[in-house]
Amino acid sequence: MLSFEPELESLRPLLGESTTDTLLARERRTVFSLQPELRIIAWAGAMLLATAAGLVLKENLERIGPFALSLLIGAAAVACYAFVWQRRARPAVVDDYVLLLGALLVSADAAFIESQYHLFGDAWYRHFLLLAVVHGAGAYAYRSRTLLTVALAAMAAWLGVYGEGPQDATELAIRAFEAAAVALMWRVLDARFRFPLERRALSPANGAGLRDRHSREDDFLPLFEHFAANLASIGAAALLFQDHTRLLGCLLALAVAAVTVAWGFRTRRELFVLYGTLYAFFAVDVFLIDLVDDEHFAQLLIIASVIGAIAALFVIHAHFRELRK
Amino acid sequence: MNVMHERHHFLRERLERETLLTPAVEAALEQPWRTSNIYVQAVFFVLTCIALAAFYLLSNESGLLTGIVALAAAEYLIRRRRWFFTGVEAGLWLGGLFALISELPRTHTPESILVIAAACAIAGARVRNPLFGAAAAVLVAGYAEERADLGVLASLAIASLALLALLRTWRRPSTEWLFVAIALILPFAGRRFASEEWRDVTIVLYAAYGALALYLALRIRHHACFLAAILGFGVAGAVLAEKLELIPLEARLALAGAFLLAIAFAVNRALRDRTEGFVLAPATLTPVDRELELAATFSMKPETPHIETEKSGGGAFGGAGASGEF
Repeated sequence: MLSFEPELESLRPLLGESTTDTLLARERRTVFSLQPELRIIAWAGAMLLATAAGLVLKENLERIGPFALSLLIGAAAVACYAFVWQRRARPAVVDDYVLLLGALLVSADAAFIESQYHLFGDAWYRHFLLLAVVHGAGAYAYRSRTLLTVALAAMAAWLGVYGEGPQDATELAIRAFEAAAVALMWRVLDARFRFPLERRALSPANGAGLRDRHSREDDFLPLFEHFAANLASIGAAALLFQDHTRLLGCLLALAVAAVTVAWGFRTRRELFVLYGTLYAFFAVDVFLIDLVDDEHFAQLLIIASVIGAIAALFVIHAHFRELRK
Repeated sequence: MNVMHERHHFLRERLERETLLTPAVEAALEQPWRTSNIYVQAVFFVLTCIALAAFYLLSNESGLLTGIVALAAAEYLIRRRRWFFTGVEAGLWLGGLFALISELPRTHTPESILVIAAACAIAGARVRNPLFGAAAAVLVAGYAEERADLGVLASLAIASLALLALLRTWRRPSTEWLFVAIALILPFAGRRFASEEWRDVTIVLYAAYGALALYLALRIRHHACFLAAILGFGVAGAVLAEKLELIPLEARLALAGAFLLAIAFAVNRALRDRTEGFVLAPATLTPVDRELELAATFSMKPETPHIETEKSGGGAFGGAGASGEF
C-alpha cells in the first residue's frame, strides 16, 4: 500500500493543521470513502435494469400488448423520478443512478410508443426532440449533469448527428454545426437565467441538501461547451473527407480550432486548447497530404506535425501550469 | 526518476486535484522532471505511436532502424531533457521494442507471445508505466491459454498475487499502480479465455477471487481490492447467469440490476451518517471519474431491441437511451 504520510507530515506547516490531519486520516485509512465503489455498483444496476426493460418491450409485445407495456415502463420511469424527488431534501449518491434509470426508461418507452402508434408519422425522429425537452427539464429540476448529457444526446439524435446518421459528409457537417449552435444557445440561456432561479430555489428549509448536490452537479456550462466544441470540430472534420469540400473543411476546422483555443485560454481550461490544437493539426495534415499526394511527403508531414503538436502542447501545458500558480 | 522524485510527482498531482498545490508546497515537493497530466500523457502517447508508425513506413519498414532511433530518442529525452511521465518516452520505448521485434523471424509459435510480453515488461519497467506491465501479464496468461488451456487460472493466479502484493507498503507509486492494474485488468482478460465446458470452474474461480479481494479490501481498505471484488463477483455472476437458461434473459438482467441497486441502497443507508471508518464522503478514483461515467453511459447505453410490427415504420433509433431499430 502506498502512503504519503512522511511527505504530508513534512508539509504540515504549509498545509495547515486541519488540512494535514484530514489528508493523513485518508492516508492511514481511518477515514475511507466507499463512494466510488457505490457509484459503480449503482450505475451497473441502473444499466442492467434499463437493458432488461428494453428486452421486456421486445419479448412481450404479443403477450401483453403495446398499451399495457408502454404503461408499465412509463409507470416504472415515473416511480424512479418520484422516488428521487421525494428524497431531494437529503439526496444520496445512489439517487443519481435511479434518476438515470428513469431517464433511460423514458427514452425506451418513447421510442417504443412511437414505433407502435406512429404519433409523429413520417417525422418519427421528432420524438427525439420531445426526449431532449423532457430530459432537459429533468436536468434542471434535479440539477443533474447526467440528465443534461442524455438531453444533449437526444437533441443531437433529433438533428441526426447521432443514431440514424446522415447520408453524406456535407449533411453530417450541417447537422453537427446546427447541434453545436443549439448547444451554444442553450448555454447562453443557462448562464443568463439559471442562477437567479436557483438562488430563489435555495430556501432555508431545503437549502443544505440542495447545496450538497449543487456542489457536485451544479455546473452545466462546461458540458455545453465541450459538446459544442467537439460537434463543431467533428462536423468540420467530416468535410475533410470529401474531395469537393476538403478546402472548406480545412478552413472551417481551423476556424473552430482557433475559437476553441481562444476559449480555452480565456477560461483557463487546458482541455479546450488541447482539442483545438489537435483538430487544427489534423485538418492541416489531411488537407496537405491530399494536396501533395506523395507517400513520402505524407509520412514526413505526419512525423513533423506530431513533433510540432507535442512541442506546442508542451509550451501550452507549461503556460497553464504557470497560470495555476 | 528516483523514488523521491516519483513520490513528489504523484503527491503534487494529488494535491493539485484538491487545489492544495500552492507555490510553497510545489517548491517543497521539488522534482526536476518535465511531466504531464494523465490527459496529456494519453494524447502524447498516441501521437508518438502515430509518428513512429510513419517513420517505420518512411524507412522502408526497417524495424531495426525504427527501433534504434526510437530507443535512442527515448533515452535522449529521459536522460538529457528530463522527460518522464509525458507519454512520449513511453510511446518511443514500447514502439521501439515492437519495431525491433518485427525484425525477428515469424515462427507463429505460442512462445512468440512471450517475446511481446517481454517487450511490454521491459518498456514498462523503464518508463514506470503500470499499463505496460499489466499488458505483459495479460500476454503471459494468453501464453498459458495457448500452451495448456489454463488462461483463466493463470489470469486469476497472477491477479491474486498482485492483490497480495498490495499488502506491502511500496515506496514507488508506479509499483503500487502496477499491482493495481494487474489486479483489475487480468480478471477481464481471463474472462475471454473462459470456455463453456469449464463454466462451473470459472464461476468458482472468479467467486474465490472476489472473496479474496473483498477480504483484503476490508482488511487493508484499498479501492483496488474493492474494485477487484466487484469484478470477481460480477464475472462469476455473469457466467452463472449464462447457466440459468430457463429463466428469460430480461428476468436475469432485471434481477441482477435490482440486486446491485439493493446493495447500493443498503451500503448507502448503513454509511450515510458516518464520519469515521468507512464513509460516503465525496471521493474519486481517477481525475476523470465523472467523464468516464458519462462516456460509459453512452458507449454501453442499453439497446431498445428491434421490434417487428406490421405497421413498423420510422427508422433506427439512437441517443438518450432510445436506441435500436423499429
